[in-house]
Amino acid sequence: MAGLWKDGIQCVVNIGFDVDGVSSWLGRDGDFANRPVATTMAEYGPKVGLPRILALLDEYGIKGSFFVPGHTAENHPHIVPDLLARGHEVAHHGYIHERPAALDEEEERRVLEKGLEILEQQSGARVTGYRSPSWDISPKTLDLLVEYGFSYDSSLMDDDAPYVHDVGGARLAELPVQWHLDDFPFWGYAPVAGVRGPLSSPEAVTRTWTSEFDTLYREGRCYILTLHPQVSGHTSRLSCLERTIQHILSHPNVAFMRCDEIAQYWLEQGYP
Amino acid sequence: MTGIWPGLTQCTVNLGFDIDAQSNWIGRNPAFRDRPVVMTAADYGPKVGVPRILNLMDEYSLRASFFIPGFTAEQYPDLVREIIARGHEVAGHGYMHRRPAELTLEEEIEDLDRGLQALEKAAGQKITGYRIPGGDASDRSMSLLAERSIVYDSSLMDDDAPYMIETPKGNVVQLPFHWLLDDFPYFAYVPAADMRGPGCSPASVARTWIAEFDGLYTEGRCMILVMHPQVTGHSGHIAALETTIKHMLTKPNVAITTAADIAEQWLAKNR
Repeated sequence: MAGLWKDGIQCVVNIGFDVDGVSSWLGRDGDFANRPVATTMAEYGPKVGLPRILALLDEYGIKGSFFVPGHTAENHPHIVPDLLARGHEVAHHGYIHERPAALDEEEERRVLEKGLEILEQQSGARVTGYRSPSWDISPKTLDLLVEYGFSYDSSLMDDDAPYVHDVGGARLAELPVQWHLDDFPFWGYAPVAGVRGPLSSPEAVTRTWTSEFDTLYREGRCYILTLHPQVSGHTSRLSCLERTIQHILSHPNVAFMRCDEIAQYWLEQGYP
Repeated sequence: MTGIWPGLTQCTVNLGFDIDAQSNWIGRNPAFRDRPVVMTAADYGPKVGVPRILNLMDEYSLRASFFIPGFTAEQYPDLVREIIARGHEVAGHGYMHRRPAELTLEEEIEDLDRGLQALEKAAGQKITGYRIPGGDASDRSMSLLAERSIVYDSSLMDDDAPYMIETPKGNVVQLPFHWLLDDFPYFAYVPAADMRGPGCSPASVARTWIAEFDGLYTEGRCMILVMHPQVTGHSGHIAALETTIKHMLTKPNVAITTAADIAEQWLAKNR
């Protein structure tokens, strides 16, 4: 089936990581700072999961997108330069993983500015990509992203191919996401936060992710996988990512791209 | 076991799709209108899921039933007409997907009539089939449906074959289903609504549905599968449906058809 892409590409794949560290827990409830089990479980991500993930991506020569909250970047200042040195993308993911839908406009602006400032300081460049923490934007978010010069958002769920928002005449690419292409719903387990996922087996999750890929490949669309180093960085789960990558690589004409490349492709290469 | 179907038919199957889109979420909590992620996750249904499902139905030459809230029909009137043009059934599913058990009589009548009117306007035809939203009928629902000349409802759970409900306003055929033949409990994940399903794989759901079909086929009963384009319409989840269809098609004398047709077949043999 002829798909959406030009240049002989049948399907575009992005592997993305939200490097939340403790930010997603502290952003939810500041009291988690006094719960060492919750914070150490979260810090497994930047500390152990991330290096393991980077080695896997290097092994397969895949460049991914890393959404780094300002708080994580401040606590682990080596991460952003290391990601960039390896050819990955660094993009915005709030400061302390604030859900935009829970903020007023002024707070939303402050969070955008703070995250931009930290990432710019560490990377030496302005980031152009945004994924909302907890995938929960407000009705104002897209306007603000255009105002602050972002080229894409990756938070909405009404398609499985990129599309372009018309925000008061400005163009902002959307790279849609899905909960079932996220690791957290399957494996997120933090009783202190009332999060008790089903703890699915890696085989079951691999079946879900490869089944999803098969249809998107046949239809020629876009596969965006969203993982968290504190979740997928564990060995059994990383095998699930590796099997999914191997399954994808057994198909011809698949292009692994960073989100900023996909957005650029859509905004500049004559796509709708 | 005595057959309940006319002719050689051993088992009937309805593939039903509730195109709730945004209505299910707004009906639950109007504040969801201001949560773009929730709204777009819902819009995936009519926008991407329904076209994919229609293509799958064409591929296997199957006719399905689409239960459409009035709010969805108002937002996507062309889709309603497309579904009819491709040979499927269109049936009622409330206006804003409100649960009758939680409504007053006046509210229930309002959601019912407004939903039927909006859907009839988009469809250009009288609606005679219905599924009560949310699997949560009130004790008045069936007589309200009979009063509106609805032939069948498909929302109760006390059997796996059709039966007749008699009300003071007339009779309504019931085509019962069960949550285990619904896609939502396996796949739905909407943290904003505090809903975190088990995230089953399509392969495991197909195994459940196939096991259920095998039992119903052996006994010669009726399988009512309740799916949602915003759930099953996803590229991976639809494999659960396709795997199940392929299995059913390996058996002789299975009638995969619309809910209206099943009600009619059952009436022909059991009236």
